[in-house]
Amino acid sequence: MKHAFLALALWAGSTLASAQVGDKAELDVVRWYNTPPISAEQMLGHGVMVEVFRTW
Amino acid sequence: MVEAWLKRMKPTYPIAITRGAFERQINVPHFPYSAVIGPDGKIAFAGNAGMGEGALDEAMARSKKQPLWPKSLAKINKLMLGDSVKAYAELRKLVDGGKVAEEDRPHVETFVAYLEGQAQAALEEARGFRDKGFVFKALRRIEPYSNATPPFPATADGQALRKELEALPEYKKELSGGEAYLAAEALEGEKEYLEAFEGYKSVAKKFAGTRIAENARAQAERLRTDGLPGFAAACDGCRKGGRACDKHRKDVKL
Repeated sequence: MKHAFLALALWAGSTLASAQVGDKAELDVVRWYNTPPISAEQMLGHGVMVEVFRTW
Repeated sequence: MVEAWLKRMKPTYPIAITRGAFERQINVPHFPYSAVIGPDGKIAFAGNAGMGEGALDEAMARSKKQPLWPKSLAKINKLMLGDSVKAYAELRKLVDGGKVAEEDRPHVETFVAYLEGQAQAALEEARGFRDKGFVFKALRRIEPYSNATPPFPATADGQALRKELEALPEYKKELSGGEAYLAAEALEGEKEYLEAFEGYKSVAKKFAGTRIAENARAQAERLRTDGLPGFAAACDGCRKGGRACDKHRKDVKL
């Protein structure tokens, strides 16, 4: 079970607009830091926990 | 900034920067914020951290029970989070030993490209430090890759850069000064501007005639002209002004 989901932290840009629960997630990653790039296809089939942070 | 955080926190989960589409999708009202994406690729939850446990449990129940990367790469993936050189050595063992299963090959190639890219990026960053007169930083950045066994494609250039740095007339002073400079830089990062100023000033005097001394002098001068020495993080006036207020300001001299 340990590997059943992917925990992903994102550093955010600007935010606005409305919540879209139920919509297809658009993870428009510009840069991966501590891992080779993970494709959307690779994530498909996995539960993904996302934490959103921001730099100041 | 992200790199510094990674070094300090050593997260065991992937970190990424996005263009912002996902954050707009889930309407992030504040940071930190969280979301769960289900195995179908759809957003299952968006809200405060800790509030999405039901959605996460549900996503977990439907999730594939295997890792993102092939089992043959599990150890390398773990090593990659802390030690690229060891990870690359393991990876080369796997590749050169002809032990890569056909279905794992694209993932292995991704790992090779990623690790070799990291070494190349370190080399370029180290060259940038050298050009700006930060010998200590340049050496620290390239050292692991220039010593790597088996070598990365960037290792030979890394070794050449090390030799070039070691041949500098004030090499030892540049290193000692660089270490002291980093200590001052860390103090500045903690908003201890007065102590940082003194640290930079000390480097400028003690290592006079070196590139690091020039850099330290410039930093001390910047802190002074920005009115930062004496800044008190607990003072509203200092925080609002982004500089030491009249009450806390210390008149420092270089």
